[in-house]
Amino acid sequence: MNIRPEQFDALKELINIGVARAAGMLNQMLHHSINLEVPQIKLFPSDMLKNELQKLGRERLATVRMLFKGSFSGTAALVFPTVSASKLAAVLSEEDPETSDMDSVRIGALSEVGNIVLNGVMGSIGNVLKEQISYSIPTYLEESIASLVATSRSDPTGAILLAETRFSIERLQVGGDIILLFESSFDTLLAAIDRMLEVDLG
Amino acid sequence: MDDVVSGDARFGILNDVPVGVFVLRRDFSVLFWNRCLEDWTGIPRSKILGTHIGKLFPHLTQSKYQDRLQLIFEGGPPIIFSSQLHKFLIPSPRRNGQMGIQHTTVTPIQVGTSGDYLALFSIQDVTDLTHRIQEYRLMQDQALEEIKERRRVEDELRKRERQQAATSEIGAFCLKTSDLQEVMNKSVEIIANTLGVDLCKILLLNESGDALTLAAGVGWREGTVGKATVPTGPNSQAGYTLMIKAPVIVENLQTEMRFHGPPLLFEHEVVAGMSVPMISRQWTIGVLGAHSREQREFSPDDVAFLQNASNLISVAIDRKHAEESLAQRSIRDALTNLYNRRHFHDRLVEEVSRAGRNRQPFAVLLCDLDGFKLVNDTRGHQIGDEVLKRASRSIQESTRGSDLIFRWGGDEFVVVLSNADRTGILIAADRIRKAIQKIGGEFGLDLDLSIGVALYPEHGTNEDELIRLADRALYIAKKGGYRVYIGTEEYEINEHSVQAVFQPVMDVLSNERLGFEALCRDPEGKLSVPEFFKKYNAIGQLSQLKRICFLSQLRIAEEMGLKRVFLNIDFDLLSRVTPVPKSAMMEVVLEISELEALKDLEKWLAIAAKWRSAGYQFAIDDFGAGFVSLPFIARLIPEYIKIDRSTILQAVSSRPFGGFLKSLLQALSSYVTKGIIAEGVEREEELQVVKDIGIFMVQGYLFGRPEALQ
Repeated sequence: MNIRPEQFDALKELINIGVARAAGMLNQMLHHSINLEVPQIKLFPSDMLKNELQKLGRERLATVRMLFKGSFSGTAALVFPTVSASKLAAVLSEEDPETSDMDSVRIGALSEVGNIVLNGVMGSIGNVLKEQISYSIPTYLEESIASLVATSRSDPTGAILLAETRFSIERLQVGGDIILLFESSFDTLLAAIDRMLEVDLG
Repeated sequence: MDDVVSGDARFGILNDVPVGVFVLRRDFSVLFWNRCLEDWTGIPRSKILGTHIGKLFPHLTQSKYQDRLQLIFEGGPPIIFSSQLHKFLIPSPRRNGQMGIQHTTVTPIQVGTSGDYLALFSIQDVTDLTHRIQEYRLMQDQALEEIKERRRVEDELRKRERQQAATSEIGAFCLKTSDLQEVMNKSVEIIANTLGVDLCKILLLNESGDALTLAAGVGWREGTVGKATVPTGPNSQAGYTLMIKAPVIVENLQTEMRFHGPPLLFEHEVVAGMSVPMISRQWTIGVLGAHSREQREFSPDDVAFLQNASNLISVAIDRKHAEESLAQRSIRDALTNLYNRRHFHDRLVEEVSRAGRNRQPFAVLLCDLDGFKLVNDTRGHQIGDEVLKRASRSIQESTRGSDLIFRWGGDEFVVVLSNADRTGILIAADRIRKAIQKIGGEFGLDLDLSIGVALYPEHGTNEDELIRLADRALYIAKKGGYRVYIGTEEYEINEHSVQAVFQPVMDVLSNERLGFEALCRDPEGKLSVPEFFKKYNAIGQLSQLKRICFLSQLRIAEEMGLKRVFLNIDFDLLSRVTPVPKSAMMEVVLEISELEALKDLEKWLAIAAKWRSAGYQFAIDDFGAGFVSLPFIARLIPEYIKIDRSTILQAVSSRPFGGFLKSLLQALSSYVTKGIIAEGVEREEELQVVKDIGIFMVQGYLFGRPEALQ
């Protein structure tokens, strides 16, 4: 499996557009500017996934995860340290993070934030690539990042494309990762990227 | 109606679900509106289908909804509108008039195979759930509040417990420690710790009552405790506390109006504080204060704690004072208020250790009030007591404050003079004596002091040694007539201790000098002859003195080549000294007082015989002044008899006595081998009487005083 550099770059740009769009929406909701880093994209055998994910940290994290299926499939996830998640939820829901039943608030609010961000990314990819993809309703989890793998049924012999973007909201001291896992046959994805490149070139 | 048909045809199954469901087309017109929503909103589907959703619900046209929904129509991922961030999507008033709370998800639904999508909204009413959560939260809040309250109460209890424990600790410390300073130091430490204040202090009122001294404290600058003073009156917090005799709490010293300008507190950047009076048996003795450099409040518990601590410390101070005055009483003599003999031991131990430390000598003066016994006997004990009191006071007044004065016994006193040399001691002793003499004058009495002095470390280094030596010195002072005597060093007696003088003995018929009688004098010329002998008698060295006199006189007489010399001697000396060899050229007459010859006649005669065989002659001295030991004269047969001046004077004044004496001496003359000598003849008249009696050997001032031989 080879990905040409221009395909990488195109994918980066797609993700960047999507994340930027999601950031715009979040910005609207939070009234705080969001910093985004350039996405990092890696390709590796799927049995290496666990190692790769563990590099992102071992602690418990708040994760909003959405599965997607279609001409390319995988997992999109928004991952925060739980402290960031609590702060973000507090800002969003105007609740005091110190008190009370944070769980219900956190789950509701963070699910929606994850939904916004992930929709921004996936929507823009799906939109640009004009490919048929269906999505699960986003779910909120609190677990270590490695468990993303356990719950995703990837083909152990296939390859995995991991895209990661770090974002932070400085004013709130909130930070996290946007992770996209494209599982196994992303021929369709690459083909679609090629088509897009041709259109642009044409 | 098309919409109703097409919508119901496709989504009719969703009419019966307990979830609000509606479907929008890309143009935001409503394609389906289920029964549940009709119930919730009161808007029948007939009214809403085909209509732009924004017409009925304008908020949904906001970009925060539009932008997100737009993607749905492109087949994008589902959307969540959470109850937490939106409360509701479709306003649905409930019976109580409040809007239902909704959790909404939007999913795309593909229309056939075209790229066209519908947006399916499903709305879950989470009002009850939310309320339950809110109730739960409220309960939790209440529980938290209760826990907080309980914690506050617990804290308060714990604080009170801590304060009570601290109070007990101070109390226990007061009981077990007699050192007042230690009690105060420990107390301020405990108080500061317990209250968590930066500074704590005990201020004690001085004797004049115009200032308070910082007697103990924690947190104060070095050199402040024990020295700093605070004025009474409204010029300090402590002064003000004393004035009102009640606790004073200061929340901010800068804005304090009740009193002003306590520089001590300002210097230590004190902001807040409280102070309570220290009261013992109605007497205000000081102020206890606790101060903080930060703003803080003091609770009634805090004030009560400080006041309790203050009471304990005050009682300890009061008790200590009472003990001290009791101790003071037991160490003093009731009559004179001088220290008593019992206390001497303690003080002398202190004095010895101080003198050892400072390498300074001190003197113990044992003083005896001469003539006092007579006062008691003749004037009564009441006057006697009065004299003792006055004498005590005058001794105190004529010594330094640092000197210690003890009543040693009835009319004996001990004065301990610190750091005094011999000159200083003599000056002090003289001053004391003069004062006593003056008291005597006031009472019309002949009073004086005899003082025996022992020096530390010269004469002793402990109580026993010093007192024993002072006692001996006193004995010498009295018996020797010195009045003041330092030390008991033995008089080193040598030839210089005495001065030999010689008085001529004349033959008034031939007017020739027969010889000399040798006498002894004080070489310094201060003492009369009786005083001189009395002094040596007092120190037990009289016989040694006599021996020295005898040998010295004998030596000088020989050196001077005297023909005849009369030496005063007693049998005691003769018995102890082997006959001294003498020049055959010189006639030595041993004069024996008849008084001494009375006893042990045989023994004396034997001794006399021994001396006679060595060439010595004998004279009976002082004949007529005392007992006439005729048996002794009869057995000894002396070479000479010397008639005492008093006998001569008697003969001068009484003619019959003169006749008697003449007859007596004539009778005696056969028991005297060489003759009778008249002593102490001073006037011609006396000489005439002596001649009339028939005595022609004469000595006395008329012929020459006793003088050193040149």
